[in-house]
Amino acid sequence: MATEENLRERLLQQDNFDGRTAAELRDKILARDEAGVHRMKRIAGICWAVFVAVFFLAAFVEYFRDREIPFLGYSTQEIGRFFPEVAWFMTPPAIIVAQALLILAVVTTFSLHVRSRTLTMHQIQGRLAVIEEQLRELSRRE
Amino acid sequence: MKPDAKLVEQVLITRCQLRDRQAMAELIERYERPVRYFIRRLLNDTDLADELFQDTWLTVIARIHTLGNPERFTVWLYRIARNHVYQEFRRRRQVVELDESMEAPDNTEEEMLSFEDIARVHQCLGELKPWQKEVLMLRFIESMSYDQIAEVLDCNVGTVRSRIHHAKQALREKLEE
Repeated sequence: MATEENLRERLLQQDNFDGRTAAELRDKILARDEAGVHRMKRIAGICWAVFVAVFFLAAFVEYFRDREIPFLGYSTQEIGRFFPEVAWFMTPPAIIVAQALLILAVVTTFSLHVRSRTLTMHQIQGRLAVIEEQLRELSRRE
Repeated sequence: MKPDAKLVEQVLITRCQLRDRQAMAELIERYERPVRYFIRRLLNDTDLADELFQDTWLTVIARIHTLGNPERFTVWLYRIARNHVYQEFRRRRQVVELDESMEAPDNTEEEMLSFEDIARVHQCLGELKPWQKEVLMLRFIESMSYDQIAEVLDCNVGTVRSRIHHAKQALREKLEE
């Protein structure tokens, strides 16, 4: 067994001759993880913001379809004749885009929630009890 | 693993599950050499192996809260590393043949391997088939029990026993060539 232990050490030692240190890799992994979480947060934030904006804009367009907008004096239907992009907010593609944004926002938020999950107090207490038992066993042996 | 080292690791894993980044860094460092070696030898491609090593740890960090028993961490970690490697094999459409028909040898006692030239072992290990490399590394680099290896490979203990025997034979033949 001693030979195998020795062999293991020598194999592992010789394999690390490429100059890339453990610390370098470790930092890269942690940085990538952090960047991934940031990216997800940003996507979730943007999706929610755009969804809310589109929702309110669509509600506004719909509400003032047959009413005059107080500060403009025109209804959105009339504005839509000159600016088709305003009318676009009430078309099926716009609704599909808003739904897609909502789905993306929910998925990213849920993923973020899952990623940030930690142990519950109950689980931590269980772990501590196991560790305590093992420590007692160790001190008994000593 | 010594009992006190095992305890330290359990605490470390629990801290990781509480999203302690310092503990994550420590855990990565702890397993850096054997896991990197495992992936490298399976792939025979250093740069890609380092990429997969990083991906393995990103998966570990993302899913560590799902690990119920910290004592199973090593097995869980190697399962993730192996899955990443086999995904890469599938991506490359590399056929991973597993000869399940092999009989388990009667004499199952551990045979001692005596090697003089480590560089030669690296080379010969690299020439073996993936299923031969993985069992040898899990057994001799990570010192896993047959049960643990069976869990990593998702097969039964008899198969592990048989694979180790045949892998050792193959390695010995390569060394004698």
